[in-house]
Amino acid sequence: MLNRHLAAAFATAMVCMTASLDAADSPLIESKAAAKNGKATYLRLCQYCHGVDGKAHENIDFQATNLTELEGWKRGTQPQQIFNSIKNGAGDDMPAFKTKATDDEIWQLVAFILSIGPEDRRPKND
Amino acid sequence: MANDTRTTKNAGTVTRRDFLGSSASVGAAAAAGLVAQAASTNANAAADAKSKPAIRPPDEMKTRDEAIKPANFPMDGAQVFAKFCKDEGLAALFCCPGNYPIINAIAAEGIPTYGGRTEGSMCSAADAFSRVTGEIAACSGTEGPGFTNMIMNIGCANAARTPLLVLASNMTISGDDTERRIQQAYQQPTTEGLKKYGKRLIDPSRIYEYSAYAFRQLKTGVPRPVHLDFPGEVTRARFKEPGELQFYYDKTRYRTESKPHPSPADIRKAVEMIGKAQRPMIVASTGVFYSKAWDALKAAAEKNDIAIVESGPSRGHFSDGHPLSASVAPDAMLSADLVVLVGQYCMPSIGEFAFGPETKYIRVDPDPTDIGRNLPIDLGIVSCEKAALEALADALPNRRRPQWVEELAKARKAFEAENEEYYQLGLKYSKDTKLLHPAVIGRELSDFLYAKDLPKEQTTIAMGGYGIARYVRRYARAFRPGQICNGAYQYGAIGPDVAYTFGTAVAVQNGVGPQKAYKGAPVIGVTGDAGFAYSGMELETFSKYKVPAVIILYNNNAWGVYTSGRSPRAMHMYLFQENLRYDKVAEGLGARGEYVTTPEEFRAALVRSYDIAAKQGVTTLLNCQAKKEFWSQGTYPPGMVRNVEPGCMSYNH
Repeated sequence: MLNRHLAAAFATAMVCMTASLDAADSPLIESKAAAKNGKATYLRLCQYCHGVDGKAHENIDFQATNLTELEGWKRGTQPQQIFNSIKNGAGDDMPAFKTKATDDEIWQLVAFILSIGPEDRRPKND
Repeated sequence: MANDTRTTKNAGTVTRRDFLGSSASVGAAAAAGLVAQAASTNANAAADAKSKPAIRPPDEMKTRDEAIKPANFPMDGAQVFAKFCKDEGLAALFCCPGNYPIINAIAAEGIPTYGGRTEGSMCSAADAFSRVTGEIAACSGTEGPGFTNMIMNIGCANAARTPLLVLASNMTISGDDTERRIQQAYQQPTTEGLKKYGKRLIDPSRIYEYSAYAFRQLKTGVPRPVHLDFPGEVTRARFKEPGELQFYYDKTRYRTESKPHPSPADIRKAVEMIGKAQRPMIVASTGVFYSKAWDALKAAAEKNDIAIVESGPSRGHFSDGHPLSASVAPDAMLSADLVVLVGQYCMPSIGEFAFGPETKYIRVDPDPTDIGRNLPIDLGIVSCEKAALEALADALPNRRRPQWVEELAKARKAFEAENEEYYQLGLKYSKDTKLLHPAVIGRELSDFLYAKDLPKEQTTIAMGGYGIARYVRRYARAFRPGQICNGAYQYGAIGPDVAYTFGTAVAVQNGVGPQKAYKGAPVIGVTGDAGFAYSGMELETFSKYKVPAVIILYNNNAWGVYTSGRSPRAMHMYLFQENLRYDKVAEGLGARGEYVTTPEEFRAALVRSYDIAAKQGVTTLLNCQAKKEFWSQGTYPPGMVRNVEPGCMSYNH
């Protein structure tokens, strides 16, 4: 019984520790494995505009957002906002990917994008 | 059709028989028809005929049909070079005046020659000619300004791996460094990085020898431009007999037709890998076309049910209509577990092709120094593409892969469904705005070329433009080699579009290489309002030579990248005046012009223009009015549509 209480307390603590996680966010964004899977999707769907390293230095079509720095993100930097931008498109240039990737794939993509950004936002769980 | 009195009453679709007949009659009546052409090709001129002189080709066009006068000893340096080019099968020369001894000598040898309005455009015309024929073409210009006008276009040809022979005069050896007279430039350093081989000829007696250097490079290995510049002392040197020329050997002795063949061990390994794969796919690229390996490609694919997807500067070496084609099946790419890159000279980096992360790669290329660049390989095969595909076709066992074939069919269906969705959206947007959406242009063009009376293999397209190409590529199909010239391939230049269309049209008019069966047919060109500025003057060249085409100009009043003009103070730099009348420019240059703003107008104008091109040899510019906001996915989704490569949307690699 004590162990069960400890486990519950531990779970609560974990939720508190990942305070940036909104209720609607997927736990996948904390997973390094998800980020790794997300990279494959990123190469397929995103690198054409944002570059293989996310810095968008090579896009001659338009000024895509540098995904490695939070400055200049126009549609929000929170995981749910990133998810929405990917799923439904953003601004004039970024198309919607809802028919190209499942929700889980998009969350893995979000995990990958977080993984190439500032240290404190990167997935921590193995 | 504003102010146009030349509408053909019996406008309708034209069959191959029609255009072949009209082509023959056009040829027979070439001389007598010049005045008639003038009357039929410019409505404004006709209207003003009483008071203003009419636009008409020069009388001297007739002299192109005079007897060929091949040179023989004694010859000057230019004649030696021209004779060499003729012997090597140079298929055409596109030029502007300058480099006079060379271009005159080439014309005298009977090599088809064309004079246009800018050296750069003529360079791109030669480039496109090669991309749809597989044959070597040349361009030429005067020293200094003429030569430097070609730089962007040489860059395009270099990126596309075109066997382009770039020629230019270059003052005199005796005047080097002096700035004596005008137009001095150091040419060879200027093309550094844009060519396979180049040489300023400085020893007249070696002109034959360096001609051999040039054609060895053009006809072997991975092609790229070869640039020769000729000082006056070389082209005007006199040679009484062969003994005065160094290295004067027959072509069987200064080069070889032998090609590198794959090692049996490599083929065994490739067969083993293909055998283990469930969903193998061949990327058939540039080298498949230039080695004319389309029959071997088909044999290998059909023997083992290997999917084929195309990439490169031209399309059609594997028919989009084949059940194993993945060129219009982008979703199939991700599930390919083994990819065989054949003749993919311009290599993508990891992730640029839409294959999965676990995909294994075999690369077949004649150049061992390039195998392994950008993309890690599981097997490299040094070989001529044709030899490798023939060896694979021989060695592969017969095997059916019904599940894979079904997956390909599903992926093609999904792509067509997406295109249909865009078309329906385009129709709605067109109705709402009374302007032409690009999806409508793409789909209506596709219906006209492939779903009605024309044989679907007939019409060659010079695919250009920026945003418009993103749409039209999705709907354009290739059913035989050289049916699509992929204009912006790799270098990303939009400017040469009209020039590419001219080179493509000349190739078809002359029935060169895979265009032979369609000799004389009109071609389609696609461009945008931004691109048109760079080579639009070549409409005059179309008219002068009576080379038939229908050029679709997508006019959205802006550069395709206008969404990058983010700050209000910056936006003006991305925009043009609205509703410009490029059709009137066409009329002023002796071609036809039509201005269309609705799907109905576009449909009718396309039929009418093609008909006039086929029957009268007259080119039309269709000025298709759109709006820049069609590129905004927020306002008019899907906006600037996404590219997936390889396949029909390829233009990066």
